[in-house]
Amino acid sequence: MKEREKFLTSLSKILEVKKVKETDKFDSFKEWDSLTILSVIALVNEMFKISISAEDFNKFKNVGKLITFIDKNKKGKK
Amino acid sequence: MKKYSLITGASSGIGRQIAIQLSKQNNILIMGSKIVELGKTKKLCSKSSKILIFKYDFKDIKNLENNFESFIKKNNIQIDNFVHCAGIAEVKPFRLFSLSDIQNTININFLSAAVISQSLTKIVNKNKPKNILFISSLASEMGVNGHSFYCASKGALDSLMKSLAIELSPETRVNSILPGTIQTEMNKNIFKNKNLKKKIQEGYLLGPGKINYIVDYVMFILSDKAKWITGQKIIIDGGKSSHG
Repeated sequence: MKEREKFLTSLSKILEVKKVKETDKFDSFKEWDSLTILSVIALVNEMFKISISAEDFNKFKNVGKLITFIDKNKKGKK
Repeated sequence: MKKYSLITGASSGIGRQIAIQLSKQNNILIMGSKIVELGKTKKLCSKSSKILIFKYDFKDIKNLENNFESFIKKNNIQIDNFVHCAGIAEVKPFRLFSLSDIQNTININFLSAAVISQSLTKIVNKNKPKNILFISSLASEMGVNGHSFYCASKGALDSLMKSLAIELSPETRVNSILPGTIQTEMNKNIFKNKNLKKKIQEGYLLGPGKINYIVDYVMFILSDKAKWITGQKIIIDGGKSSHG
């Protein structure tokens, strides 16, 4: 749980919003562009050691979908 | 005292290939932070020359001068040519760069070259080097989205080059080479993204760049054939910068 909260906090810093909810759609954020996508990909890589291509990232319509993907891939690695 | 050519950032990409080419006619000292990769570079180098490895992480800029000069003294060598290839390119929105991100970029891309150049012009190196060559980037001349501090660090490198060319002449020729985008280990993540790759490769009139296009020019600049060239920013970019 702590890890998830830490991730959401870091995500909110990148997106420059107070709080990020799992139902939030990525393209609804004001600061959402190709460079921000790269920064989120880098964050996921740094925190969870999971590599995501920018093309694959576009499949995650909201924050929750990304978190589900992270959880699945973390389990697969154990 | 044996003469050596020093190449930083020799653990991959352009730096590694320069080391391999230079080793065909010079003893070389290769520097970088990844010891395993430097070992691989050494294996690829010519067996007819001496190859020294100095593992150093340029993020630690404060101790570079002492460590570098101690290495030169301990090994009793003189550096004749210095090619600075070490570099990182962190890509993110300008607003997200932390002070530590910025310092790392400046230390590795710019200050390490400055500190080593200083050491090479001191008595510790016996004679002034014949060449100081910085591998800069077209990003020094053109803005690049998401590369704010990479661009700034390369701009600093080119400005230093101009001043050194004046101050160190006529013994030392100082130049910088500004390659356009070339796919290497450093930027492989950007090239994984099809859209970004397409965007980055737009405008190269002569097709995508290859490492050997740069290496061949480095060999020319270091040779006596270029003996009347100093203080120059040499752009090698397949025509990219010719666009208005």
